[in-house]
Amino acid sequence: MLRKLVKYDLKWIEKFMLIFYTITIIISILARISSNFTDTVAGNILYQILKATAISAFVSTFINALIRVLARFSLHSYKDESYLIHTLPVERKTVYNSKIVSSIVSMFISLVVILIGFLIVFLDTNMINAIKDIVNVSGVWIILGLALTVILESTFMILAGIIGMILGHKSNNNRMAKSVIIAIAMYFILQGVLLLLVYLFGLMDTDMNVLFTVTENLNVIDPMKKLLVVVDILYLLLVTIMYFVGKRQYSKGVNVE
Amino acid sequence: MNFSFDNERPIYVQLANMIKVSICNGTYESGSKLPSVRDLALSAKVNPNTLQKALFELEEEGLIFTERTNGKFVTTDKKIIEKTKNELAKSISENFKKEMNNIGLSLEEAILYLQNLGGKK
Amino acid sequence: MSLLEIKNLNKSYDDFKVLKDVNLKIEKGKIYGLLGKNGAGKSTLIKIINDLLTKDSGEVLFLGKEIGSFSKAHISYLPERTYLDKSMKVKEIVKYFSEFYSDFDCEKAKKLIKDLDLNIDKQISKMSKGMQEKLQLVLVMSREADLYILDEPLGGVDPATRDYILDTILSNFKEGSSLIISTHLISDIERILDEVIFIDKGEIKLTSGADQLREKENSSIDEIFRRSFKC
Repeated sequence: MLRKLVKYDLKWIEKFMLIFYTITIIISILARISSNFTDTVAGNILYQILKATAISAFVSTFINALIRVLARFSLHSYKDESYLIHTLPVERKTVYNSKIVSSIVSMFISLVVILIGFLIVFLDTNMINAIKDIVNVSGVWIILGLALTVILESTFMILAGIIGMILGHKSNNNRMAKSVIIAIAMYFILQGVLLLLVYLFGLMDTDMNVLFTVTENLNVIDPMKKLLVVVDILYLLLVTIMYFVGKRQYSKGVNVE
Repeated sequence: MNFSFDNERPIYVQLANMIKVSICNGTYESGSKLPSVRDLALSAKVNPNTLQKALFELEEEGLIFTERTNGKFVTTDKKIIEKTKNELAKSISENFKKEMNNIGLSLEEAILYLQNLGGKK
Repeated sequence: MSLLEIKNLNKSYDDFKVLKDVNLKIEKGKIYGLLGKNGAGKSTLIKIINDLLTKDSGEVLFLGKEIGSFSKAHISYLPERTYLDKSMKVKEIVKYFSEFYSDFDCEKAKKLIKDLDLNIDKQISKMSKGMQEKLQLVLVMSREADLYILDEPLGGVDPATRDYILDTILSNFKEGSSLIISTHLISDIERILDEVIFIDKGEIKLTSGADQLREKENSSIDEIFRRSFKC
């Protein structure tokens, strides 16, 4: 059942996102092509415009992916379609899981598309060399660590949105408003707490201390690795706790509109 | 069977009457097998449970009988069917008399109307 | 064991008590009419049975078990509103139902869709509201469920379609299963009811066999209801 639910969720989310993916890639390609004409004034202006458009396409893709996955949760939990979803012969926690899985997968796909677009626009020999340097010093792990951080941050946003909706819809009026407020508050407070913990960790650890106290560009890569590990572990803990809190609250029952 | 029902009287009673009428006029012949409860309910557009109750009443009156594996049958006893026809005729006549009286006609005057319709005197 | 048993059910919205100490037993093989005015609590009761609202207190048991994925697999529910993904086509929603419900009869659904003149390739958003409602009825009645719950199946529909809906309901529900029809249009459905339940202001006022009630009061269910709940 979980697989079937995820299948339909992904279909609905990606049917919409396809437009953004297409636009993002096309504009990225156009920007890259126009980068060859920057020797002329007109050419340069065109490149700058396309470059800016590409960047806003990246941002727009990300934001719309987030909105689309949260919209799916809302429509299926509280709106008209919820009358079908909540009466399917599945456990409520399975519905919750399908939304979590499809949301994370969708955000991941969006991030990949954004990365591809970014590389299309900006990848040049300088960047390749910089990446080669980093990989030589500390291996491929730092790249993976950064990727994981981005994915975890996206997952954190999704869960903040979902838990905000679950808690906001426990009351009888102003449910959407309350959901948005709770979600945003949760996001900023927990994000702040997380960053605070990282900072405290950093102060205590002598290696990482380097990043926060020394102004010169010494060997940042190794402390960065440690920092990434701390950040990722804390994020992982946070999203895991949030996942279980959300699952528990959602399984207790919903009140549809 | 005529399928319009009056919501003010028990449906099963009305159904039983309709079946009685069909038996009396030979639509369901003496000794013949009745359609299944489900089929009959579908064609009459009624709740099968209500039909069951109606058939039960008819069985109590001896108009139909159940052969466990074969279904329900109309009685072969022609006397019971005659008796039923008789009862129905009496009730129709009494209604007729009542309605004629209602518009101020006596029984004798009412009979004249019947005679004018034709048939044996 | 009763098919559905509701014990001491209470539900409030803030201060307003929508359901007050509701007790009901639904047995197998019968058609029930849940009759009440608009706002009497019919829809709330039905939504709680279908896990769409949380109860404040009391029990709702289907074949002895709490409402959950088991009860949902055996209950077929037709809500008052359109609950389908309107971006889907008719054939896609038929496939959806057959994927999730093991008791869904695909062939029957296709036949009913044809009978009702619905276009199987049409997108649901492009269908009229009346057609969408008919489609939902088809989907609900194509399941071989133990309990069918229909919330206002005749609302906002012309008399000819009403008759057709009643016929579809009667001819398609699984033998031995039960039906709960919730409505305020009593005279249209009363002839097919086995049992009637009167609900008013969140309380069950009366439960009785339909014909028994007619015999006792010498009038139609509709008339009895009006008399009982004069404004």
